[in-house]
Amino acid sequence: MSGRPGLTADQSGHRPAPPGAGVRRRRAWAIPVGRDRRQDGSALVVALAFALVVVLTAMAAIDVGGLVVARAGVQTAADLAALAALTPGPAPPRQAAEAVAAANRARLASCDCEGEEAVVRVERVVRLLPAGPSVRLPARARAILPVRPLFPAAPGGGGAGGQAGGAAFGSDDTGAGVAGARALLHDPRLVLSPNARGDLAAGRVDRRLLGLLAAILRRHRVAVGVFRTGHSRFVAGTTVVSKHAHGRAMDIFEVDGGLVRRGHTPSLELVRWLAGLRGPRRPSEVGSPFPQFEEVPGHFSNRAHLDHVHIAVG
Amino acid sequence: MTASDERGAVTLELAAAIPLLAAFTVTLVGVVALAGSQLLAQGAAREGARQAAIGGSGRTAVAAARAALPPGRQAAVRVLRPAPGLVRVEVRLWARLFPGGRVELTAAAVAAVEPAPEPAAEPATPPARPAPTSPPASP
Repeated sequence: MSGRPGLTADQSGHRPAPPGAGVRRRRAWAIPVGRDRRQDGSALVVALAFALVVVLTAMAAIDVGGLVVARAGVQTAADLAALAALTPGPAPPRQAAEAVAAANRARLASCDCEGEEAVVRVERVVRLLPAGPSVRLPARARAILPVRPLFPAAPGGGGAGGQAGGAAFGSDDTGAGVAGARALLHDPRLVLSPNARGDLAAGRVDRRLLGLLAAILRRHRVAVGVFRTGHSRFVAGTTVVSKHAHGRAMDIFEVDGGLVRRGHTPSLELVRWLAGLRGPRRPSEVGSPFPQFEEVPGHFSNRAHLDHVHIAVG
Repeated sequence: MTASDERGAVTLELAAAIPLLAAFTVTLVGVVALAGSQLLAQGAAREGARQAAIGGSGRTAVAAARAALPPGRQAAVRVLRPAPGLVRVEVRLWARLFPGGRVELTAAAVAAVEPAPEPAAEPATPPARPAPTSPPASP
């Protein structure tokens, strides 16, 4: 019924054309063709119009597909450029990021890539086919330095006795009668620098500090860089003797596998827990990258403590 | 010309147009599938390049790229070093535009590579840390 003018007139409520009338209605949208009998090609016209719609849809689909692919490509370029900015190499970070972005067919728009974190913005201009408008596709990526184990694993584990483990600690948190440095030496949750290991093995670390460390280890995995050996005798810039010199302080550089720094949640949790301690376990000094605890007695934050937590007792 | 004559002509014309439309539709579906495959290839190349960038070897880069593809998907992965300090991972896979017709798709991602891992990861002794400045001296 599609191509029948008579039906059209009926449906629209008009009276049927008088018999023999030469004028026939045609659909409003039908394209006039230069023939006597206009309705002859109407199906073809419908099909052509439909085909046009299909072609336009196909072009739109190709455009959208191309945009999706390009979008993923730009994100790839951003990710790899951010990684490149942190990759050690001969070129400065920005140039390295620029080269990688270009190799991935994107342009580096900005690179905030000094230090151990890189935030990179790249963009690619995509032309919609055929010869359509250009679209600018931006992408952003952030990378931080991969965290390596701070100290190599304990060489050989210090011989036998490793299985003694943390069990020897029991429930004693106060430091009085701690099973000793020996169990700490074999605690898999504790990473020690060679200096710290030496201090611990030689008994140069205060028992109260060991008790606090054992309590910390129940909550976090930590890496201790310094107890006494390797630390200056005096507090930097002063003639005040540091608590490190008495084996009553330690510097923690890694918490739960992540380097201590501002914005590192496990480190923040550790310091918050320390700030909430009461009684004999309470440390006398806590230096950290987190200034929000400075009102807590004994807590402080300064430039020298952006990368570790200093904990002292007594 | 009578009405019945017209109807026949219309049917004939439509019959001629339908294969055309069907072909369009198949192409459309094929193009969408093509874009999907291209995304797959790109994702695989990216994973390979990322693996290389964080210190992986050529072999682990290839493994990472393959792991990003659905199991059983045929693909060729190549790891090239176009310049010192750069690694290029190319993933080639095949998609069907029409039933039976295979189209080859390639995607590549370039990453900067870290130099070979240093022999000693850390100095034997960590640098001395300045002690706190604000608290008073210990007793």
